[in-house]
Amino acid sequence: MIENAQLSRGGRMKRLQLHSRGEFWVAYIVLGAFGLVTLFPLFIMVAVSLIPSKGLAAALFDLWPKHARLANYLSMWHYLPIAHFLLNSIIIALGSTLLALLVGIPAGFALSRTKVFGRRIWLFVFLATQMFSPAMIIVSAYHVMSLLHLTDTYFGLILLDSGFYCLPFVVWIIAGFMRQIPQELEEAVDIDGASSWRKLWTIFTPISAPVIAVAGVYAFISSWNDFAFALTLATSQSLMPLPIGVYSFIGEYNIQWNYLMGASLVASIPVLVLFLVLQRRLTAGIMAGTLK
Amino acid sequence: MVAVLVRWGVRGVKRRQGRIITRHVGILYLLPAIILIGLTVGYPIVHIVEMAFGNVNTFGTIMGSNGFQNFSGLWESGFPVVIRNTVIWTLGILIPTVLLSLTMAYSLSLPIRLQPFFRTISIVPWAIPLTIVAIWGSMAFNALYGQVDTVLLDLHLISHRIGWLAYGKTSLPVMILIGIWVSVPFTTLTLLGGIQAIPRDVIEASSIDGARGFSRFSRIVLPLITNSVQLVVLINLAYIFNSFPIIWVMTEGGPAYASATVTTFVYQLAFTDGQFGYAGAAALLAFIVLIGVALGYVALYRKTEGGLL
Repeated sequence: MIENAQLSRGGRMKRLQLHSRGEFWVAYIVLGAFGLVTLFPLFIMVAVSLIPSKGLAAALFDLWPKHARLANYLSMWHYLPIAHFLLNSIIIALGSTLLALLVGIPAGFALSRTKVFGRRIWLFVFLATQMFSPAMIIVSAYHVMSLLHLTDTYFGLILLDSGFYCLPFVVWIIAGFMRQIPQELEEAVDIDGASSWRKLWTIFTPISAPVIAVAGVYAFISSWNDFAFALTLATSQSLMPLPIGVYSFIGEYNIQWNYLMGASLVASIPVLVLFLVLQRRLTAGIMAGTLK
Repeated sequence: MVAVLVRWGVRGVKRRQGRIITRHVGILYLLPAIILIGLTVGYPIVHIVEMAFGNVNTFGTIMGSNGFQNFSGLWESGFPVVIRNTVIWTLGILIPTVLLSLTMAYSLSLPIRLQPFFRTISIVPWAIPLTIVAIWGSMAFNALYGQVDTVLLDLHLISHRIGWLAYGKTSLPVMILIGIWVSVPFTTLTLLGGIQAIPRDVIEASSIDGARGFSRFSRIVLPLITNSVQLVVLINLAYIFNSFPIIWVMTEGGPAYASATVTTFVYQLAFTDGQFGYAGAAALLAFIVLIGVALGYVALYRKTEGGLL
């Protein structure tokens, strides 16, 4: 680990010894530049979200509105049904996550702790599905969903999001972790004669809880960020998740960018918070499940 | 329901065979997942193959076989341009992303000031839904009032507003820049993980030997994180190739196919043009490429970790 080399007083000298001044210059310039580039869109989003609707078109030319109107964050909920879109997002993302966990925990268990038929093939299948594009899969998945009469339903979207975005990841993460649980633990319970079903829910699942939580959060975020499936399957506004809902207002003649940017910020905040709270764990989880 | 079945199955088999049970019961645990993935990915892929070789009407109904006509038809409907765009798009994002992320990951591994701040700000683009990023992009690069032009005008870098998204020549580079911006966080964090796994002694020993700055980075650090680099190259390759929302929201691949990649092209063929046969053919070709990426990933996994596969 290249963490702080210095220890209290003599630190500065040692740090200079270990890393050259040039390295630090490059670091500050590159990180600073990326930081500026990252803050710019956020700044513009906030600035536009505060423009009053009256005179919106002219005010778009200013980088910061002359009359910032915080009340936009109240009136935008009437202009577009944000609350409804938000609820849709939550229902779909939560539903997909729960379904993926319910189905994925036993699957991860089977693929790591049993000699199930075709184990490696199944693992490869789950991995390979992650390599495909949702925008291409939906071309024929739409056909499957219409055969099942599931277009324009929550359940159809939950099925697709869960199977495509959430399940492969959940299975791999959980299988990767459960594999490392020591054999002795399982044998100890074998003596008690516990069935594998009981072992799964009373031993393996509780031990894996932190990893399952990470997999769940990641599944939630993937489903929340879906575009292609909802764009195609949710033809009526009553079913649209928030990002698609905001997108559906872009085609309008007079685009109310102030409200759309406000809604965009609302759509970004949940994921941003999840990411910031769990940033270390998320990467650790990804590493544990896939590669070291 | 499934749970009851499984439990019942476990008991039934167990009574008869004792401890070998798990071997057979495993498939019951796996079955719900297989059904779900079969419904959402497995059967759709079969259907794509059917469409690729089928005579499909504009409603998506297959009316018999069509041989390789869909594939040859693809070439006459703009596919060469689309392939060129896809290569530019994929490499144009992949290479700068990896180079920038290597620099950023190494920078974040140094004992710099404000490290938590820089770390956090490096994650932000990843945390904003891609759709929202793209919606922001279509506003910020708008020909009439785009804020990017406003800034560039204020800085006297351009003399008049540019309709960035009107032509493939300008819209593709703009969208590539956005693509790099959203790809950097994941790549940086993964590489940072690789760098932090290098034992401290190695770095200290290298500085005693006089390796410093860029020479240490290229001769000591880089060879030790080859696996992480290969990993991010493969994952990004698939992500970027498959990327859809940025292009679809900002230009829909247009005008004509000037900014279309294979992914947006397939979607457009199917849902805008009603050309499901062509869409199937193009998607099938893409899948073959992506299977190659998946196999590369498996090879890498076996080489480094290899526990499961």
